[in-house]
Amino acid sequence: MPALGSIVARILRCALAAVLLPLAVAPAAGAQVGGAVPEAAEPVERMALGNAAYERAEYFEAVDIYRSLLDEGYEDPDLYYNLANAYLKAELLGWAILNYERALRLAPRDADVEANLAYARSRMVDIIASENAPWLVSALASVHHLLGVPQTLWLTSTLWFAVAAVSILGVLRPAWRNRVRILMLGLVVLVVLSGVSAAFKIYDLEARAPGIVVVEEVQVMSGPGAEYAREFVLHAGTGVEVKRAYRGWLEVALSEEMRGWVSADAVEPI
Amino acid sequence: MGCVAAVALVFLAVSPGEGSEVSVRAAVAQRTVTVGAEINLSVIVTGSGLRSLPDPELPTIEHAAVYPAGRSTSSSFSLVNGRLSSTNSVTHNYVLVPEKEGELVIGPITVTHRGETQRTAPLTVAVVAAGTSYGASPRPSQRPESADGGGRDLFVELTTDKRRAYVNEQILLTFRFFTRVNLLGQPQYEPPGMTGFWVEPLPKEPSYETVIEGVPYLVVEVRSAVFPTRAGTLTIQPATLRCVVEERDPFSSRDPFDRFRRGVFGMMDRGREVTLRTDPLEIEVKSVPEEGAPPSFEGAVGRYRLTMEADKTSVKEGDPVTLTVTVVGAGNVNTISQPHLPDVPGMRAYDSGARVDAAGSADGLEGRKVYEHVVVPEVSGEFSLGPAEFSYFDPAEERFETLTAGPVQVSVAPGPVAIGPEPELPQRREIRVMSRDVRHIHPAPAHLARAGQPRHRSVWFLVLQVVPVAAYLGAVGYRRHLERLNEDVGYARSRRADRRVRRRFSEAHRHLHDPDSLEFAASLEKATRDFVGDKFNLSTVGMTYDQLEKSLRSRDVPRSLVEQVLDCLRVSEQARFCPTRIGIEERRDLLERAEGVIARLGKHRG
Repeated sequence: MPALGSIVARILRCALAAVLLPLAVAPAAGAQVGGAVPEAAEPVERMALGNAAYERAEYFEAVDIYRSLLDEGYEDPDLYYNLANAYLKAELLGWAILNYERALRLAPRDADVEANLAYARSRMVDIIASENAPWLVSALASVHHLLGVPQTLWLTSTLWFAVAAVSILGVLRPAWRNRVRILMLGLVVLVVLSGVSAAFKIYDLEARAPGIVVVEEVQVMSGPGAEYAREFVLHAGTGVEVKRAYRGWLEVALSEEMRGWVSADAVEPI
Repeated sequence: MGCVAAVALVFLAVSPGEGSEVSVRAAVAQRTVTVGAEINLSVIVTGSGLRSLPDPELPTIEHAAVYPAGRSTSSSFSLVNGRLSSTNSVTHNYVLVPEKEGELVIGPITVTHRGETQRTAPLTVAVVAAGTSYGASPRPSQRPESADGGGRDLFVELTTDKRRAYVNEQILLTFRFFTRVNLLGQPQYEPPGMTGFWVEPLPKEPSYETVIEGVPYLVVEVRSAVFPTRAGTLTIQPATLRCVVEERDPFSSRDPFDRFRRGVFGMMDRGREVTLRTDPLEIEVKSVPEEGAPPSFEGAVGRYRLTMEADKTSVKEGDPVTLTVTVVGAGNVNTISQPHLPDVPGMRAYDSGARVDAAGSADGLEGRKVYEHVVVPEVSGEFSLGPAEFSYFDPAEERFETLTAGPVQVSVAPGPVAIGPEPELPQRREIRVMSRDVRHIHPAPAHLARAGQPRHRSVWFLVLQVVPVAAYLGAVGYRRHLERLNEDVGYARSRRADRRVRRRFSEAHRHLHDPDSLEFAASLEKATRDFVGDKFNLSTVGMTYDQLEKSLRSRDVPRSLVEQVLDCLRVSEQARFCPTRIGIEERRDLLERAEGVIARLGKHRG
């Protein structure tokens, strides 16, 4: 019986989620209702249609077009950026910040993305205290965030090939060995730095699983369920770290002290 | 004896004759007398290097009786560059008694020596009627004081050239010091108090000699030009002079060598301090009359001239022209006001200041004041600058004078850049943010790609990172191969054995169908011997079969294989050196056997 009860409970929960999830994302998907998206068109043309909808102030239609492209597997920083703009104009702050973050991962040096992300964050309710890091750490972090994961991996790989080429040159031309030694030393340092930066980014992507609160307000519970105690409230746009998922609930953390469980539909991973 | 020696020295050193000079001077002790009173006239004849001097010749003096009053002589000696020279002078005294009031003129008094005639300047004496007071005339304002307590050895006087003057009119103030005694040290002169006067010192005049009542005096003058600054009765306070005089009187001695001896031996004479003070003087100062004063009169008193000139008369718009206006004359040039210049439409005028160049002379203070005006034409055309106008009051004529100078014509050509009003600039202020919004969306890119597998999860990307390691290891291996080729002969021969045997077999194949050719057999033999030599690093040339067998056996080559190698060599040599024909089939069989033996031998690892 317990097994049967558990199965029934899971079915009911899934059914509830099937009903509630569309409601939760209804504003985002609102454009799907009225929009006739010409999916047969080229993706670039469809994105242009989304831009036209945005410029007509039909933001939900623009959101629908942009999301349809993403759902088909297309990925581009400008697509995320325009989607985030449309969300912001549609007053969906959490979704806007989420997509700005995604755009920033692909284009870390895009000034427009940074500016609009800062603007969106200025409208957040939650204030997250940030610690002032030492200047050296801040400088290294700035360099670290100059490139995205693919660019950092390519840079590391290129430097790695350069180290090999210089090493081979030193083997085949013993007379040049002293000359290439300094060059190789510098290249090795760069490879190590670039590799460490890439490793951190991959770790951040794979292990930390950062997420953004996309609903206007969510209560953080002490356990994965509504019956647990309410510990604090988060609002749209706040960044959290997703620790684990359990039965439609996500354990999220702002810090070691502030962590709890939220409904899985309240937080979207970046 | 000393005196005799000195006289002998004088007569030996002085050489009269060549270079001697004679001069004559005349002076009267009174400038104003009454009819019948005495006028003391002294005529001093001075000669250098002469033992006797000529007598003066007096002109005819009308309306006066002339009486000789004796003569006196004096001598002086000086030692210059080791030579002693003497100067003698004779003073001839006369007494004149005027018989008629008026101006008594004493004509030039002449002295003729060796054909040359010297003349004095004419002297004039005012003769007034008997009983007339002439206290305003200059007279010694301090009674002479005797250094030895009995005579009039030194005295001072303070005089002015006028006692009535206008405000800002020039008055010559003269302080005179009369002395006939030697002074010890420099006299200390204290000028008079001059409240209400503008004082301009005049250049120092050289001292001179004069005769008063038959007594010669050395006269020192201090002159000033003073200008009253206000009307009323102004007082010139007494001037003071302090000096130290000798207690002995050199003129009291009749010994002609007394002064010379005193100059040499009288250095230690004691002196006495004397203080001389003049009487105060009162000056009546009147204001310049206001009636008749021209509009351009600014208070200048004296006598002046006015000039004006321009540094250039042809300019372009914006080029400055300097006008120089100069006032020159006698008077207080320091207080001259700027001459009036009319404004010229189209010209901007700037004053560049003024400079004063004043200098004193015997007649008083003279000089110039120079004003510079810079005018900048703003438009082109012909302009008339001036005239400049300046007015002053002439106290001698007691009337105003108005001077004009100019005008100066200036031609102005159009300039390259017109001078216009500066454009108004908008007021600067900080940018004010009206509102904030998101930055606009980006246009659609040229191509949209599907999201692929993350690169760090791509297998080929990870495999690609191994390529550099493999390449490096290959390079290391190749480097070692090259080094062994250089260092190990056996390795090098072994590495080239295959290449050489292929070349030999290729030659054999080429001669396979030539029944008369010995090249086929030679290629087979060389192929076998070279391969065995390269493979096992042996020198096979000239090696017998037994030696070859032993060498191969020592390298663990199987016996059967050794036999096949030797058999192959024997057949090849037989075909090479025995001229028996070998059929094509036999040659092909021989070639295949040789290739098989070499192949098996190549696989053997010795």
